[in-house]
Amino acid sequence: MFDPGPMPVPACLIWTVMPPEQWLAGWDQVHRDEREITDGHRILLVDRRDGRRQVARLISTDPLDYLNEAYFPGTQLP
Amino acid sequence: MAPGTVDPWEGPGDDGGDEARREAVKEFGAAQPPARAKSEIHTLTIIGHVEGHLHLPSQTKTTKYEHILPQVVGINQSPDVKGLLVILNTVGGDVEAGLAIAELIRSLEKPVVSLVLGGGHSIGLPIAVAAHASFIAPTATITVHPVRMNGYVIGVPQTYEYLDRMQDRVIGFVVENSRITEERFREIMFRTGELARDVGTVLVGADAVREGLIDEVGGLDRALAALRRLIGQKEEGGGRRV
Repeated sequence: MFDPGPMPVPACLIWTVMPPEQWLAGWDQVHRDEREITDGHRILLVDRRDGRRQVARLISTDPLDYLNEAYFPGTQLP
Repeated sequence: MAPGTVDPWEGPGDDGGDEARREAVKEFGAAQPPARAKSEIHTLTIIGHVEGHLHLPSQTKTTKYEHILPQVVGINQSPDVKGLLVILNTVGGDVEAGLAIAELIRSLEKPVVSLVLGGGHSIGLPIAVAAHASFIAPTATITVHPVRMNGYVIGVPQTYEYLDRMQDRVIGFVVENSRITEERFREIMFRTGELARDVGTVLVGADAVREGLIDEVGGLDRALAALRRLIGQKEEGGGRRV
């Protein structure tokens, strides 16, 4: 059976003091269990980890939503 | 609320006085519990890696542009926020994400002051100079070195030309928003013999000010004083730069 081998690291332009080989190291190990919750004009990307749900990202048409701590990334949801 | 009692968050009311303060000491162990004040200064932290279009591993501390960019728009639109304090302690990261944050900070309609603590390396520098006034702690450092490309690349001359053009973007931004000349910036960027694994220069606190990259050496006190001064100037209809 054909083995495609490890996933190639995508090319990106970086300006960092971190050694290039460390940049993106383990990027293909990232696994997320994310769902979208739509609430009017805003969409919450919710990440589920250890049985808890937390805000991973907010997408909203109202810029003031991004200053509302209820929608900050990392906020736990009931 | 009964006379003489104290709301632990709001402090004594008009009918408070000494009796209320004594009551507060008895009840809460503090003469004047801190009021829950809303600050007119918003703090934005640029920490760890500046993440690009790919998620970095979860053990890596990152600044995500999808969180920062709309937040800056929110700061611009919010009537409660009068000024922005950007605190940097970053190793650098994705060029385009960093430049996007820097451009947005530069074009913010409200006063912005940046403070480099620990390190404001690589792409952290354009973000630091994008503010209307910039400060660096005496022990903080800024590393200036060439831009790099990571991952699979096609080994043709066009790749190197592309890399060179991308480097010109960051050089142009830094030169345009600081007091350093392009010649001098290129000189410290491509200096050999200073870094063990790279070409470039490490600038410690006062060095960054001497080179004209950062405005002043200072900590939180001086950064906040400058921001309050800029807010005052803005409210009086004055200029944006210190």
